[in-house]
Amino acid sequence: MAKSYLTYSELRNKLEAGDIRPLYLFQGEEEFLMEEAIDLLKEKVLGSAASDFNFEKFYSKETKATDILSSAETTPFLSPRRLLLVKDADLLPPADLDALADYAIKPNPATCLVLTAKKIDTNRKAFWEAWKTHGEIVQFWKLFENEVPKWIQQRAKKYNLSMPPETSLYLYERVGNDLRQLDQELEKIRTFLGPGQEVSREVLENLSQHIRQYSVFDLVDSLSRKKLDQTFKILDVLLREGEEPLKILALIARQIRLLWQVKLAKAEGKSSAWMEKEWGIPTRHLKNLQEQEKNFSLDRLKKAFTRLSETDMALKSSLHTPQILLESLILDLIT
Amino acid sequence: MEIHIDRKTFLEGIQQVQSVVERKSTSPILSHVLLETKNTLLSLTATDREISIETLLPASIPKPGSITLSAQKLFEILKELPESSVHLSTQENHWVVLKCQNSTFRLAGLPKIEFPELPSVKSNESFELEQKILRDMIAKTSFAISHDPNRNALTGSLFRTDNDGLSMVSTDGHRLAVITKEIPKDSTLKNFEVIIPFKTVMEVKKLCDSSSSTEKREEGGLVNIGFGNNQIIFSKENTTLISRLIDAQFPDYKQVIPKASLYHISMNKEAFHRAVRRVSLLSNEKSRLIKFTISPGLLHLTSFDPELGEAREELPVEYAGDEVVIGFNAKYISEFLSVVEGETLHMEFNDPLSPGLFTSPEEKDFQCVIMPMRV
Repeated sequence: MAKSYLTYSELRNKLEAGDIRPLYLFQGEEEFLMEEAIDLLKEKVLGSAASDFNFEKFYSKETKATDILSSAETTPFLSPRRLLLVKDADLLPPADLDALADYAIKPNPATCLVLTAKKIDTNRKAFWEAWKTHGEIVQFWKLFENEVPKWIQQRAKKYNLSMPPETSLYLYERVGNDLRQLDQELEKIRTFLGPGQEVSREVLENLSQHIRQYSVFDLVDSLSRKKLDQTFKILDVLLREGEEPLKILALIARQIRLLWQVKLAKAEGKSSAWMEKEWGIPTRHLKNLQEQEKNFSLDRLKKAFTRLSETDMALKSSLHTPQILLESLILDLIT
Repeated sequence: MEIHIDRKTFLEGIQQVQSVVERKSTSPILSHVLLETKNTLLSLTATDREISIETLLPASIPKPGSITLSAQKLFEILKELPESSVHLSTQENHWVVLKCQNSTFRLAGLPKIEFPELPSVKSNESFELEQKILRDMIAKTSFAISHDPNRNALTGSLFRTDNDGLSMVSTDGHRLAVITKEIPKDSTLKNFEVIIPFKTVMEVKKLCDSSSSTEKREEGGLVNIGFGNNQIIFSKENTTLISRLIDAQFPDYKQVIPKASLYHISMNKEAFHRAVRRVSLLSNEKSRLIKFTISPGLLHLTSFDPELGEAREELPVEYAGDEVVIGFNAKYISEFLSVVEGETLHMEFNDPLSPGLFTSPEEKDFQCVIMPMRV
């Protein structure tokens, strides 16, 4: 089945080739790339001339579909197109989304209407049908852990900096996966080093702060990928920041359970679509689990349940510190 | 501080300054008005840090001094007081006692020291303009100012001079209103170009509307306008308004005004306005579109809302070309028609997707460009 959405890089290629559509939905959590895409669209749709006249931004919380549509139907001033940006379209009332769906059936070719949203309710059938048929849906997911160092390298290239893979990995470990923050760090490094220079580990140690923040989800992801050092490091940070040990254990247990389910379903020949529907897991998350389950045998996962139960008991009754108990569990699960 | 002041004078003074006061400010002092004696006059000052206004009122001042009071509360009290003299005196800990006939109010004030200092503006250039001209320029253009904070340059009116004269221009990207007045030949005024924020524009209009007497208001006194340090100053009689200017580049608006048009239609303005008002009652709520079908001698106005129904009206016009159909937002047309003067209205455009130029032969210095909508 053909993919019903574009990725950011596919959108960029299309825009560079002059393929501009009258309707876009930018959906996802990665706001930094979304903003970059909007800037590119602005450049391609409006150029520099008359952009003040023809660019309008609407905030869904304080706007009505009437205002958006009235603008969308109006001829642009001194430019072939008008660009309208509707922020947080997932906050628009259902009636307004329906009104936009009606407009999408026959959009004004002189208007480029862009909606941004974390996630539009999939139950808004009319909206989705109209936008899938007449518009372009662009997905902006948060990058996977293993994609971030590569992104850092590409970004460094844009700033005319040379960055070896191990250095980009080190920057990622210090800063995390917040692309805006990473971009700011690279800009700072460029200002300090000047263009054309190689970024070394020493430069990062001097210039870039250790600001990375971890969540329990980072921990279970690292554990599922069997990265022992990193998992210990995240656990240490989380416990120092006051994360509840039982909550950490609960999320590890949930992850093991999901890996177990995916492994069993795969053995029974169930399709990805069946798993998504049956368990209500988003495609991307399922893909992740399908990769991770390969790191564990069924037998290993079965034993993991016993260890989880023991750790639960120990956390509630043992004299050992939660850190020792959880580290011991992680060690058993990974090695 | 102790003063005696006529209640009506006091109320008019507060009315003059209180709309500048920031009602939702996190800083309580910005919701206050500063009362300060200056020789034989009482000065009232309000500011939101962007606009500051000061007005001087005649008062009897047994004891000079200063205090700040909640502008809103003072206004509400003065509005309810009987027509008489108001006695106001300060007490310890910045309490203020206000008496008028049998009424006494004790109000919590704040000291002057907490009130922001007004910008000291050294005016590099200034000129005088009849207040009725300034009021007219604002009334004819302010409706088209954009309220979108993302389009900084369009959130105010462009005020400029060039060889054509003194112009005021506003646009929100959907319509553009421009009015140009002649500059007296003997004027030594140098060319300037500034953008005045919307709130200031409305305050200046209020300043032009107010006058110490109705006679003066109708005759039209003079307003002194000065510039300096990215600020603009408007002074009239005993009132001075200082505002920051918008630091942005206003788009080249002259490009938007059609130089020549293929379609020219003339009609009675009042009849057209009434027809637009009626037909717009059933215009599509989503777009507010009115469709204009123009054929020789006749203009058909139609609107349609799938949930409400449709409206049609026809109007005799002066037009001799081929039939043409164009759509406009009813609200934009109506707002222009509410301010344009004269009996005749002229509409011209090049094609149904190019800007529509609306003018009145009786008011040649005023033009409005409205972008059409897809029909």
